[in-house]
Amino acid sequence: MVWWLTTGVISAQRNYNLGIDLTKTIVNHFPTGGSGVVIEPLYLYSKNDSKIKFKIPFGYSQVKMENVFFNSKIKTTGAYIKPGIGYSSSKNVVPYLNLLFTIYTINNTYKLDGPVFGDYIDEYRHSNLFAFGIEPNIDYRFTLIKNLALITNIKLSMIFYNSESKDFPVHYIAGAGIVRSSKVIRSATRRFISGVNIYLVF
Amino acid sequence: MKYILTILFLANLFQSCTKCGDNSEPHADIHFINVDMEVDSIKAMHSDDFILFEVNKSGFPLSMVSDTTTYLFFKDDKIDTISIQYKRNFTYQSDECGFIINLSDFQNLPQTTFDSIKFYIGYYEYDGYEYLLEVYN
Repeated sequence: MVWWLTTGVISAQRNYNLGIDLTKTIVNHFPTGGSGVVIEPLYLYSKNDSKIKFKIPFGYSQVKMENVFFNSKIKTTGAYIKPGIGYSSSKNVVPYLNLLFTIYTINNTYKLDGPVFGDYIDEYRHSNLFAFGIEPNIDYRFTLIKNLALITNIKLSMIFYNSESKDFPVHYIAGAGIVRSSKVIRSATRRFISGVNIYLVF
Repeated sequence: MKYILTILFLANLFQSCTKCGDNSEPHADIHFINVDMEVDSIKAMHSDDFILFEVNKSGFPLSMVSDTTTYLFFKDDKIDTISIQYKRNFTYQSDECGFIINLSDFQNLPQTTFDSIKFYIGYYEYDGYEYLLEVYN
């Protein structure tokens, strides 16, 4: 915390900002027809006018998608944290390199149609799934009013490790996004996921 | 640009050729050897009920909700029965095909009124598993 004297008034300059991701929190419908809740708060820290800046987005998500893969209804629940460091002499444009750690659970209900003898419905659950990656990204800050700003963040998530299996599909990684969908890309897990976030920070 | 579009089109075309296994009720062909199988009706046993069944080109459906399937063949006042047991294997094939079923370890059950049944399982790259029952009397 830094205190300084300006025209006789003592003011406090915060070294940190808090924020929330509006794009995920408000818009909970996904391009492939899913729905869910994603809450991603943000912590920013920069000491004085240092060029080195720290950023920690973290979040919780619960995303349901029906028929994203044939005959499957998948619910993915997960939590993630993305600590990162940035370097910039500008306050308004800051490039960062973040790490991505996410732990998630998949619940899938699948159905095989049986017109004569009846449908076969089964479900499975895989918990403690883990993914790790990095996320180079850049923040563009637009001040709205004093102590309130919008940050547009452009990111590229690169997944280095994901505890997926050939026995069950993983379509969504909490914190990274949609990595696989028969409607988006066929039978291959994407290692690179681009995205745009808008944070409201104060 | 033209070449890129051509490559994308061909890539999509080849991917479209993916053949799925049984992601709905599997069927079996039943061949009757030395059996006169003129019947009035066929019924499939479903739980405690019987379903009137008409043979079509797909063959005889096999139950996914049970390890056994039983068919009854009615001719005048005579009833013949085929009752078989098998192991159900559910696996994830691909995003386009989803979960599929294949059957193995077929056995003839004592309720069968025919002398014997031989089971054949064929696997075809583009059609998946096919099941053939040869019924002898």
